[in-house]
Amino acid sequence: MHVATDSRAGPRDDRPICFSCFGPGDWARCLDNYAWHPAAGLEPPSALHEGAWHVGAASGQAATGLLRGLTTGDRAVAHGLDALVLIDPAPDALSSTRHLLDLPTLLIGTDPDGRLRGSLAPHFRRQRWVPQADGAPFDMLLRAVLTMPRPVDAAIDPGFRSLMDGDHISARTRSILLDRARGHAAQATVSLNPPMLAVLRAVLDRVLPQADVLPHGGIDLGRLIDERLSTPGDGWRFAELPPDADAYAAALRTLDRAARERAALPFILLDRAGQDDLLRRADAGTLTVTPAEGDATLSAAQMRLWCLDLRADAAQAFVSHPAVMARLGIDSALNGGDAPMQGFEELRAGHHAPWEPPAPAALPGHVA
Amino acid sequence: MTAVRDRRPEDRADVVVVGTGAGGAPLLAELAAAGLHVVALEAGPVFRPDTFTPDEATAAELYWRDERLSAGENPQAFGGNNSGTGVGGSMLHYGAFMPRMDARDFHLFNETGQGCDWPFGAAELEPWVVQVEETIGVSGPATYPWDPERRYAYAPAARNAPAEIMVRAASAIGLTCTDAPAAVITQTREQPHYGRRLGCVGCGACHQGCRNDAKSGPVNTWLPLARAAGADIRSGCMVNGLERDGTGRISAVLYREQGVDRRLPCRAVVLSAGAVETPRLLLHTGLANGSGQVGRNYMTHVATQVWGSFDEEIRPNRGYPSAIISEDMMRPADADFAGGYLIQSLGMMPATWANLVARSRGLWGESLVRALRRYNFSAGVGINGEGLPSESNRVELSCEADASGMPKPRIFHNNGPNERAMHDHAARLLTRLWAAAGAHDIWVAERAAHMIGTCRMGTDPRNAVVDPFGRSFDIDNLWICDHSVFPSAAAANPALTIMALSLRTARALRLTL
Repeated sequence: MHVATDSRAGPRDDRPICFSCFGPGDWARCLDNYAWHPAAGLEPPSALHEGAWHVGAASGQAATGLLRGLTTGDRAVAHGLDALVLIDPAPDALSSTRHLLDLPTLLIGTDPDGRLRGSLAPHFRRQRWVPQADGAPFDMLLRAVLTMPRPVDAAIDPGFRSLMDGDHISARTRSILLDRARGHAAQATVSLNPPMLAVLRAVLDRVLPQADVLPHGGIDLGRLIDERLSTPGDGWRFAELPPDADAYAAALRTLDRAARERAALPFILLDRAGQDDLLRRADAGTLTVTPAEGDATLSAAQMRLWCLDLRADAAQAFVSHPAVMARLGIDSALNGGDAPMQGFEELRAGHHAPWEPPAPAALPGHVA
Repeated sequence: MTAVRDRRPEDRADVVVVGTGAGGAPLLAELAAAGLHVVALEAGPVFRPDTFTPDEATAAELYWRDERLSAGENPQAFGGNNSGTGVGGSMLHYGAFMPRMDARDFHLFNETGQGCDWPFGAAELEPWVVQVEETIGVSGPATYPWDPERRYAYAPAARNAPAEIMVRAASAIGLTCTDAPAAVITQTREQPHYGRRLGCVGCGACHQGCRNDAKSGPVNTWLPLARAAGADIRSGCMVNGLERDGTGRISAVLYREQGVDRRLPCRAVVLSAGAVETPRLLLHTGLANGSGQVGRNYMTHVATQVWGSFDEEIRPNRGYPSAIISEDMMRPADADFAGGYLIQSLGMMPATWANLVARSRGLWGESLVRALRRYNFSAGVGINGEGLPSESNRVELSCEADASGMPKPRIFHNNGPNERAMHDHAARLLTRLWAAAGAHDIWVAERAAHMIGTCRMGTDPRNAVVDPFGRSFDIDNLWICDHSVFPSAAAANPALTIMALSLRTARALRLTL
C-alpha cells in the first residue's frame, strides 16, 4: 500500500486525506496536478493512517475489479475505507447485479451518453459524478462526498411519534409503521435493478412530488414500491400487462429508452420538462419506443395501464408512511390498542378527541 | 409428479366443503349439526382477530392474492375489493353492510325483460334470511322505511361524519335514508361455542379485519358451531382436482397442502370458493359443464362513488364506514335502466382512498398531492346497483399456471348500456346530494364491486349449471354454494343472500345422504 497525504487540507475539515491505490497509474490519471505520488499495487489496509480520511482510488479495469470484489463478497478490499474515487470505470461494471454500495463514491469520467450516471451511479447510495478531476475544486468535492449523509426518510413529527408509543395503537401496527419508516440499510434492491430503481425514483419525483407535504426531505417511495413488487401483490393485474414486477421493469425500461431515443440521455438525466413530456405521453397511451431484442418494453397501450398502477402504488405508499400520516393528521393506525381496543368515540365532523393528531387546515377550491 | 397421498388411511368425509366463507360456513355448521362427517378445505391460513392490523398494506394478507388476470373494457379489481383468503373467507374483510335482497330483484326479467329471474322468490328465502340474521347478529334501525315489519336485534352503529352529512343532505333534497343494516353488533354478545363478542367501537377498520369481534362473520359464528358439532376445518389446503368413480359421481377431492398432493374420499362435495375460484376449478377439471354455462354471466355491482371535500375535519377513517342507507333508488321513477341501486354513506381508510383517487381522478404531479392532502376533509357516498348478466362477461382459464398447478383465471368485465346508464344516473344524483351537503371539489369514481354469477342456478339443465338448490345437473353429488349460483346480481350486497342460500342448500343436501 502506498499512501499519499493531502497536505493542503481545507480549513473546515482538516483531517488529512489518504489515498489507497488499487491499480497501476491511478494516481497519475486522477490526480496528476496534485503533488501526490503515483503508486501501484494493492496492499492490506492495515497500513492506513490514524485520523485520516481513507479514500480508495481505482481507474479503468482496476475500478471494475474493485467493484466486482465489493459485490462478490470480498468486502475486505474496502475495509477501513471512507470513500471511493473511481476514474473511468466501465458503466456496466455492476449491470448484472442488484447491489447497492454504501461507501460514498466520487465517479470521474466524461459521460457524453449518460451511461456512467444512468447505469453505474445508481448502484451507489451516496455518490457524486464529475467529468474530470483537476484543480482545487476537486478537494472540496471529495470532502463533500466524504461527508455525504446516508439517505433517510423524512422524520416523523414528534407529536405523532409519541402517539405511536402510546396506547391507541397495537404492538403489531406500531412495529409495522416503525419498520416502514426506518428504511433499510439494504445491500441490494429487491425486485428492480438499481438503474431501473433510479428511473422509478425520477418518475415518482414527477408523479408525486412530496415537498408540499414533507418540505424537509421526502420518503423513498421507490424503495417501498421495489419492496412491494416482491410480495404477492393485491390479487389481480391487468390482463394486458405482465406480472407486476415484470411490468414495472419493462415500463421503466420503456421510459429510459424513450429518453435515449429522443434526447440521447437516460431518463434520469432529462430535465423536468423532458421527463414530464414522456410521462404525459405514457399516460395518454401515445408513447412508443423501438423494440429491442432481449429487453422487454411495453406498448403505448400497456404504458397507459401501467401509469394507473404506478399512480395507485405511489399514492398508497405515500399515505401509508407514518411521516406522511403525521403531516396530514391521519390517525387510522391509532384506532385502538391491544387492550383495551378503544376505537374512536368522537365521530363528529369538525371535532377530534384531545389525543388525536391535529389535521392541517383544509385546502380551498378544486385540486386540478 | 408428486405422489398423491391420503392424509390418513381412514381419512374420508361424508361431505367436503371447499371454502369457509359466506357460502361454505353456514352449510358446514348445518351439516355437522345433522351428524354428518364434514371436512372443510380452506386454501388460506387461520387468522387470529387480535392480530389484525389497520395498516392496509399489511392487511392485504386477508385478500385472495393468487393472481387473476383482469380483462375486458372495464377490468375489475379483485383482492380487497371482493376476494378473501383464510378461514372465514372474504368475510374476514367484508364491509358488513347487510341489506336484504329486494323482493323485486328476484324477478327482474319478468318485470323488465332484462336480466334473469331466480327460480324462486323472496318469500322462499326469507325464513333463511331471518335465521342468518339471528345467528350472526345484525344491527339496524328500529323502523326500516322500506320494510316496516322488519326488526333488527341491535341498535345501529354510531353515525360517523359522512353519515351525518348524508342524513343532512338527503333531507335537503327529499331522499329518504336511515341507519344501515350492518352485521356489526353494538353491544356485548355471548356467542355460542365462541365466547364474548364486544360491541362496535368505531375503529373504522372493518375491511382490515375486526379486532374485537363486533363484526359478524364465519369465524365468530358459523365455524364455532360447526366445530362444536364435529366439523373438521383444515386451513392451507388448496383444492385443485376432483376424482370421479365409474358412474361419474365425485369420489374424492384432490388438494395440495404444503406442497403435498392429497386425496380425500367423500360422498358429496360442495364448492363454496366464490365466483372465480368455483368456475375455475370446474373449468380446470372439465366437470359439470353440460350446459356450457360454467364461467358465463360473470356479474358485478355498479359501485359508483362520489366524494367531496368539506371545510370541517371529517376524518373518514373513523366509525363504521357505511352507517347510512337509502333504498329510494331501487326503482327510480326517472330510471333509464332496469333494476335499481342502494345508496350508502362512505368513510374509507386512507390507502384504499388514495388508491381510488389515483385510479379515478386522472391527476398526477402537484395536483395529485393536493388531492391526497384532502383525506381528512373528505366524505363519500356510493351505490351498490344491479349489474346485468351478459354474454361478454365471463371467467375463463389463461395459459399461465400458478402454484396450485391450475391455470390462472382471466376475467372479462365490460359495462353494458344498463350499467352505464345506472352509473350516470347515480353520478348525477349523488353529485347533487353532495353539492347540497356543501361539498366542494366533488369527483366521481366509476367502479364495480363484488363478484357474482358464473355457475347459474335454474330449472333447465340446458342453460343452468345447478338446480334451484345448488345441485349440479350433471353430477348429482356435486353442489355449488356461493354467489356463483346467483342468476342475477340484485342490488343488495351478496353476503346475506349467500348465507341464506347456504342454509337452504344444506337442508337439501342432507336429504340426499
